[in-house]
Amino acid sequence: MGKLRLRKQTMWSDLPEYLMERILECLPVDCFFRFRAVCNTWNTLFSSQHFNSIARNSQPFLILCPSSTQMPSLLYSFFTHTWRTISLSFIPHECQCPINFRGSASGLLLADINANFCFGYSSPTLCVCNPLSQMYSLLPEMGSVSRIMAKAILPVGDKTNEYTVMVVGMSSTDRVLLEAYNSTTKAWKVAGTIPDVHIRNENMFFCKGSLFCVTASGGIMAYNVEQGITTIVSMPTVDAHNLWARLVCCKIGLVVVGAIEENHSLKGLIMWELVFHEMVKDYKWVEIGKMPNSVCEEFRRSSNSNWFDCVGVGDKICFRANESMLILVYDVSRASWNWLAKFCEDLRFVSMGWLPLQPMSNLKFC
Amino acid sequence: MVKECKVKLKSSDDKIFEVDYAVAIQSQILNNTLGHTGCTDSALPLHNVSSQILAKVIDYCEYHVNASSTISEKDVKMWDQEFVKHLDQATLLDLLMAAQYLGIHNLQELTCQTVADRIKDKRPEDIREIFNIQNDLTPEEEEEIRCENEWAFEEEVSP
Repeated sequence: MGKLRLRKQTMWSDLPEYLMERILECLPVDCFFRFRAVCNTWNTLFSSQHFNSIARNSQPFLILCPSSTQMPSLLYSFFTHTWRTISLSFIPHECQCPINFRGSASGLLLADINANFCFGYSSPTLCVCNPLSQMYSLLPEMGSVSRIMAKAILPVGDKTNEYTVMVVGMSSTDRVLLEAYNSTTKAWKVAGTIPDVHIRNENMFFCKGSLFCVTASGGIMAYNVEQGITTIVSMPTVDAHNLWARLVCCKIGLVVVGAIEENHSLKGLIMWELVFHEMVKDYKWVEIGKMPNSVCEEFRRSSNSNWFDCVGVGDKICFRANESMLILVYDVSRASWNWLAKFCEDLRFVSMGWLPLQPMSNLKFC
Repeated sequence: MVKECKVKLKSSDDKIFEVDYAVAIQSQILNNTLGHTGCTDSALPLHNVSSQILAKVIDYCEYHVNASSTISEKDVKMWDQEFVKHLDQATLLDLLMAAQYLGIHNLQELTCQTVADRIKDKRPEDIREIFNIQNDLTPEEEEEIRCENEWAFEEEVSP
């Protein structure tokens, strides 16, 4: 009679560390934060450089911020396809003054508060906050710019925890300046001058070393920060239609969303990436997607308003018609269109800012 | 050059399995071994893999031999999901260890992702139970972590 061999039951605790790590790497980034509470080892692991690097390079969340921090913001995770609330009430400001969230980079949001109702005449206070770590920092007044035209926050350096905020605005002598704030020196410094250009709105994006914004004449202004060179790029034309341009910044780079309107209603939508060609030292348009007619019709029906807003979140571009509770998402890498689950019925969210929010695993500062 | 020979594998509980060469070399370890020894009649001993698990591994490898060239990516994914769907925790763990031991990269990826998918919605206390992890955080330390990452512990909002 042969020996009875008992099969040893493998336990999860038998799993070698590196295999456990492999499993944890496959988790949605949301879990990187929640599972720190499991034990000391996991807390250290999820705070490590390795997991931070995964978090930094993963698909960002979408954050919806109402203009009063008394109301919670909404956070959408593309991993779990769910919404969460997150409070920004740690930022102090007068209830009557709206807070506008304008920029996002490396898990930090740039906002302006105390804008007062005389927008353009008084200098708003700029604020940088980290919603996930509930920290904020109020920036000191700029040295040279007295009227802000546009602003942006730049991504944190790879090795440092330093961030930069850039502002384009008018000096008291009517020159258009670029002023930069460094979080380490906690000071503003003039970083360049920009030829007299009328910027259409406050949205400015930093992408691949340059700042981009839409000019009043409907073109794109690209300012190479290091070289101090400004380039004006005209919008692409489509069948002699004029396109209403909106800029979004996403994973692949700067994208221009061109809405084709007819009789005050959206007829079509095309997206182009603005690519810089080193050889000719100029920008070229590369079409990256088009809204199919069926989707366009659904989008028109989602709201009575003709206006819409769009934002780049990682490799996705989100669209929302004004006064609509529905968000349409274009996945750039898959070239697919999808509607997000409706977020809420609360109409107070109807006019709000929305931005990508990169979960940075160990970014605790502000 | 596709070898026509058969390869014999012996599980830890002495069962013999015969597979095509192309199936066997999905395992990096076997690929290396066969590269040195060539096709022999003797069975290659796999001390760390039981017959129950080896059978499953072979199932996987047999499907994947042709998968990349003849079957669409979408269908392969669907097959993979079916393959892991009803596996219990213990089998999944054994499969992961076997995939790692044999150097079958895509099976290792699949099992890791499956485990991750099964635990992603769990609370920390559930995780400890599943993986038999001792909570070595003091109540204060745990509270601090929960506060610092409050948003991640928030209940999800549905419309």
